[in-house]
Amino acid sequence: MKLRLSQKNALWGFAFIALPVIYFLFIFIVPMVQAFYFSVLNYNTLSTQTHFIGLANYASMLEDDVFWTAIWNSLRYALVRAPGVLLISLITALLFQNITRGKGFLQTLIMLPFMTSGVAMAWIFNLIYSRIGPITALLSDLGVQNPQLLTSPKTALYAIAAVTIWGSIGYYALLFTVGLNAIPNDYYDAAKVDGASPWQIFKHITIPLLNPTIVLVSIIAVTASLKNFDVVRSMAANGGPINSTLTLPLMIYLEAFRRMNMGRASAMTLVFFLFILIITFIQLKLITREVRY
Amino acid sequence: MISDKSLSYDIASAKIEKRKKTVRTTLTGIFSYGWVILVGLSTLLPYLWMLSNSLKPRAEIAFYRLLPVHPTLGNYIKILTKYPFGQWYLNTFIVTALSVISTLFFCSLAGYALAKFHFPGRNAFFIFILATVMVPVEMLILPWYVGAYKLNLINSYAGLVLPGLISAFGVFILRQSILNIPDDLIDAARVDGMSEPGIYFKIIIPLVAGPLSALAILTALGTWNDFLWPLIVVSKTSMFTMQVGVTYATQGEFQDTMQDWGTIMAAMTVASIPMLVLVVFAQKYIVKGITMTGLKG
Repeated sequence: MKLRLSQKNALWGFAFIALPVIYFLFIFIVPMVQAFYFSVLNYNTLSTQTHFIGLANYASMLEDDVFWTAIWNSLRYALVRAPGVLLISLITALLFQNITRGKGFLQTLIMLPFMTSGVAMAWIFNLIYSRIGPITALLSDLGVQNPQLLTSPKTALYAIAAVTIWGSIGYYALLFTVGLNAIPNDYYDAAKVDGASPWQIFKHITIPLLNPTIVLVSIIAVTASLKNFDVVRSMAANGGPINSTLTLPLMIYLEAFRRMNMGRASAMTLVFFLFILIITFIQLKLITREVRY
Repeated sequence: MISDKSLSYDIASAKIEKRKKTVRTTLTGIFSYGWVILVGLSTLLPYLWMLSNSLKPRAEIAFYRLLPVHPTLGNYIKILTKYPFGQWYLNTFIVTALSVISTLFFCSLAGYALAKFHFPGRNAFFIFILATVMVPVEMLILPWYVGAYKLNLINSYAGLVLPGLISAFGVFILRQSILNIPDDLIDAARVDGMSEPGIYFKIIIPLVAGPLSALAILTALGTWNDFLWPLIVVSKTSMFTMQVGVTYATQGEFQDTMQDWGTIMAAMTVASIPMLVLVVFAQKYIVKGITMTGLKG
């Protein structure tokens, strides 16, 4: 049988795309449906009995004070970490525009944490925050009451947020730099001819034209903050002291692999997904502005 | 008519303006350098602290000195003889290599199909693949674990590598790059009698070498530093990847021997070195990869 050229082309296309599509089906879509299914089961990996229990997992989860503590912790972690890292990296990216000598070297330097695993970052700071660490010594010299930041329920979560801020300044500064470089020079030149001050240029040209980048980067930053697991797990272990560092991903992990309660953990992952979607939506509403060139 | 007086006044005020501007430029320069050098130093210091403490004998850890008085390799010898770091390196290397090879092959293949072939449902496939980016890994990881358990993939390389074989972002950036290749080039090869797989390997792949290198490095970085999935799918010490192994070793040193920080810092140094070396050589591709995807590995 002789195939027409267009049919042959279509067949080759199918042949090339088939395996990737099947892969995404089995690695993403099937597990998503399974997660829904697990969440309505009384599913404990230690017991052989599994049966349908309706929305009981959701009900017990919503009645659990610890779950609400985890939601609150995730929220407060993201609210400190995301604006913190965005502000510092935006300033860094803006000031990088003013320098030429040693720029490449400095940019490589601040990208180092991007290459470092969360585990290694976390343990370096576990030492720095420890009883014999320099930060503890500094704070106690300044007369601070509880200089061991990680052992106090008031400061532990923020101390962890500071580490992930430190760890991603280079990455976010790079994303902002890409956005800044995309602004056409003509706008700046025209503004300078008109005698605009640097502050006016920043306020009326840089910020509005950078808005799409700011929207994208802040959504990445908030989502990444909500999802962080490796640093929190390595610095907070089980969410102590007194659950003050228990974030949602950590609680899901402990529920599924310490208490072996897959059903309830699955219910939590669905709520977690919804939580991320809602926050992303709120963010889009709050920060998106029309860009008029 | 312009009087002499006003002209000289104009010149004088222009001079003042110019001097003001120079002062401002200098101040901006000083402030900018000051800030970025401060950020650079604060990035570097924790690494130096790690390195210096990994070289300190135990009695010196409590002194806040950046340089060890009696530097020793004892911590490294202890960590490398007590735990199977060689095996963990090998495991991580195998998993990383498999992920990278598979990601490059399948992402470019899918990207090629989506960019240059015409078949029913092509756009639907593309949107479907892109949409998977939205799903958080946390939601998938429990079903993955159950699936891996049922398929007997716990404690195996296959289990470790399974979720990282193809990335949707990889498909996306390769589709975009392959779209830029002129159709004439592909058609000419067909007229010359080149087979379809031949065109893919000999024409498409060499033309997207740049995006492929960027994708390779981001995938390697993501796999090497991945923590959550290896932590779940592997329970045997001999199958640990570097991040899980180093956590295991650290918890041992933290609890058993009363916070042996020197040894812990040596372990972190050993675990971080390969990727820190990579940044020096591959900075260009990392920057390129991030600019193309806007996302981490």
